[in-house]
Amino acid sequence: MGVLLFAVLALVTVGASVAMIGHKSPIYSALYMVVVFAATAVAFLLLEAPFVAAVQIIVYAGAIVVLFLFVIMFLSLRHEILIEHRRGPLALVFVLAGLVAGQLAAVVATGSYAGDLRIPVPEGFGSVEAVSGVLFTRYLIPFEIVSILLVVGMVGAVVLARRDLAAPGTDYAPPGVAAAGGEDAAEGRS
Amino acid sequence: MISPVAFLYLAAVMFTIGMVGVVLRREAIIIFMCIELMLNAVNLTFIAFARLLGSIDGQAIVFFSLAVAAAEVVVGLGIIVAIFRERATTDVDQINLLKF
Repeated sequence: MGVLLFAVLALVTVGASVAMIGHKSPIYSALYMVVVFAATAVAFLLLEAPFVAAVQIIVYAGAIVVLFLFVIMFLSLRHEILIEHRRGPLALVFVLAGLVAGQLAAVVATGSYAGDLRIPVPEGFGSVEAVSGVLFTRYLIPFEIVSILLVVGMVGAVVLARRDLAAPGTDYAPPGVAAAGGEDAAEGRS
Repeated sequence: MISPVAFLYLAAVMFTIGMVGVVLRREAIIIFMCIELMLNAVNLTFIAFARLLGSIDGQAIVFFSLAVAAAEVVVGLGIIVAIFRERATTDVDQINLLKF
């Protein structure tokens, strides 16, 4: 049962990942990304991490993918941009990928790990209580620093979204800035 | 039951697929998605090791990794939108101002 479940999970994850990097349209890539993230959440559940699995669904499959879709719609990429892949020696890429994969697999294979999932873990391992227990004691200062990071990210997004991004003194002005001007025009457009 | 080591292999495969995507694709937004895939693979590794070692710390670190990924996505997509406004393209081969 466990092996079958893992086989299906691994197939779905790898298949969706390949489809994600291979698909022509970024919209479909984003949708395959949802599949990958959901499958990873299932893997988290199998590894006794229910809280992280829930956070994964909410933050990754929810917020981040919606943000990606929003930006893809906003960019309205033309088709000729979408279908171009990188030119160059494709074989070299796959040789490099094989090397990296082999290296990672060798690292995993040569490690000495204890047994399997039958190894007992404490009751409530991976629950909200257990995770927040260490989060608010041992990792309290990193936790607070994360809040600063999120504020910085928010401010950065606001600054980057300004329409008058071109620095004074550069000769380039984005088209329509002089005519449009102001936040209202930015909201109304596109 | 299946061993957590199998999940380590799965994470390695996911990481490699993400790396291939970064090298192969040319749209900045797809490259960004591939980076998310690699981050996700690393998270899976953390969770698998947390289960292997019976330690909750791995899960706490994944929590931080998620927060950092969220901040990174916000700023990165902001940069992509800003580049698209300037250049009307997100093809990384044409965004080569810093290339020497």
